[in-house]
Amino acid sequence: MIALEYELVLSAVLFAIGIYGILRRKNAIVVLMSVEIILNAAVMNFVAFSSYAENGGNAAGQVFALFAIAVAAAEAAIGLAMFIVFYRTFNTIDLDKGKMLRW
Amino acid sequence: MTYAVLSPIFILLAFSFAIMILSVFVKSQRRYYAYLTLVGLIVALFLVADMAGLSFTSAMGLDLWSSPVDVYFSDLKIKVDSFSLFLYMIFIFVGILVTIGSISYIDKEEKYRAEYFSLMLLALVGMMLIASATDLFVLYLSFELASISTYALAAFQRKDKASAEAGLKFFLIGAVSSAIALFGISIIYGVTAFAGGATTDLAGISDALAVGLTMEGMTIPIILGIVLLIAGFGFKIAVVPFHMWAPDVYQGSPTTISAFLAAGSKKGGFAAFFKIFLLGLIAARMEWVFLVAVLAVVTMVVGNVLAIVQTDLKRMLAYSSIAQAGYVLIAVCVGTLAVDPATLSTAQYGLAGGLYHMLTHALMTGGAFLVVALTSMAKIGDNLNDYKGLYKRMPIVAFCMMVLLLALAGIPPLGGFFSKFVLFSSAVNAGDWFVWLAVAGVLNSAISLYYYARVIKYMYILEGPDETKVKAPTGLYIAVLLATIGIVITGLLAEPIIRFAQDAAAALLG
Repeated sequence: MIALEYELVLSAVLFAIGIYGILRRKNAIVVLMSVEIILNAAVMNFVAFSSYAENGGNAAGQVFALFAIAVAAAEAAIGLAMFIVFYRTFNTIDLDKGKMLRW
Repeated sequence: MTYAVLSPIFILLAFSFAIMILSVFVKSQRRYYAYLTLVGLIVALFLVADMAGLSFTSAMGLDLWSSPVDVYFSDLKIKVDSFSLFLYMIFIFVGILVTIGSISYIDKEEKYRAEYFSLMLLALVGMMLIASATDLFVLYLSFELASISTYALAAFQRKDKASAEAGLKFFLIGAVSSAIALFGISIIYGVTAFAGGATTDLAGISDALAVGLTMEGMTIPIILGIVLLIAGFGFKIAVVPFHMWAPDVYQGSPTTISAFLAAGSKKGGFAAFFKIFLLGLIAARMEWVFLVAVLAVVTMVVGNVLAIVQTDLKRMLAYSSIAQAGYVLIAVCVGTLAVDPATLSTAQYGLAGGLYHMLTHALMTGGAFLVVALTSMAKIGDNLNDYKGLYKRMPIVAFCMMVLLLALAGIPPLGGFFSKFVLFSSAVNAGDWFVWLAVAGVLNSAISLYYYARVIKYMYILEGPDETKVKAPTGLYIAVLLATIGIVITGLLAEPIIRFAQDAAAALLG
């Protein structure tokens, strides 16, 4: 069995990568990918803690992990649709180009 | 028959699906979808009122529930009690206002009219489930249901540049915040795994945190989880510094949807905030109550100060609704006093103030956004300068707008005054440093009066370039009138509403 620390370090690294991507990247799809990475970090956490809590895994964490994956898929679906709408009006999905609404 | 108490949720869900399926087969007569939505909402509102104590069904001999309802489904992790009923009423009433407004606002021949109403009902279902959830798992899923439906609504006018941009911003920020919230939940779940039993149940989390706080080296993960949860759910209620999206999205979205977001969806965020912080994290209150208090004051100040410099009415209302969110956060701080039996009644009074303010704010802000929708439909525009001399062109609408703005500022006979009064006086009753929250709230109300009164000055005192009468679109007109009447009634009936809100608060805080 892998020690809990390794799994937590991996999830913390994933979280940091996700936050970095959200803050630094301007391409909407890359930002969406970074969001998915954070979601995966959370899923990692759920599974790790669930297997730590009980032998064979605590059900609450595992169910949460599965549903989080489903939610991530739903979010990606609506997100990609939104990017297409944005692309049709702005001809780009560069987030810096959306400048109509300021202050 | 206990499942009967879930009937309002199931009815809205059924209408949402029915409209979606109908739209595949029926290509013409799209305008009837609005009426269908309205029927579903009114039936649901009637059932909720019945559960809350109208007792019409039991008088008819139907034995569906004994009001006031208090049912806990331990397998579904859903609880229907006075707290959720109070919030159901707010949500459904906002839904009715926005639907009536949308009858004339959304083009009758719009190809996706059915989807608009169907998504709105789904968002309402999500918000109602938030109000009933007793488990972070249910809460997170219903939160996502409410959010994902509203992303699509914000970008509804897809040919319009501002709407496309608003939708994209709303989606990205919503997705980031929900991911951060999920990470926070996973950390809190981890803490419970170490301190006793791993659980996502809110009551169980509270017990586990009480144990966890006594354990060595557990404080940092707890604080980390709390901060991530505040950030994640703070986005939804637009707490400073997570408020940047709100003005952009409210300005760019179709105005009826801005009304829905500010009046409805934000209240869903508050419901989640109350549930998580006053039920789940109450044991660790010392770690977060000061943070929330500081955020409350900063939110009030930033919202009000930035509202002063706005000339676009939708942006001004967006900043004003940010400031109002700061007032409601006072209730979260005062609500923490519930842990001590000696101060339980103060905590209940404070939370009742928060709930009451959510009700009045839904009416005031919803109504004001609908007035803006009305004037932009009537080709007057939605800028402050367009409102010059409005009372000559649309006397009744201008009067309604004046009432709504005065209520937002908190002028006595109206609902907005009493809700703020309960909120601030609960902070004063709480004593200690809570008094400063009341002081900040009162000072901020004074600031806010300036920009609300400025709109009234533009409407009534300044001369407009054009004085011809303008006809208002009927649906929006009715919605605005309803909101105005609602805000007057919530002021006149302040006492029974406060009693009902106190029952609701007692149901949550126990």
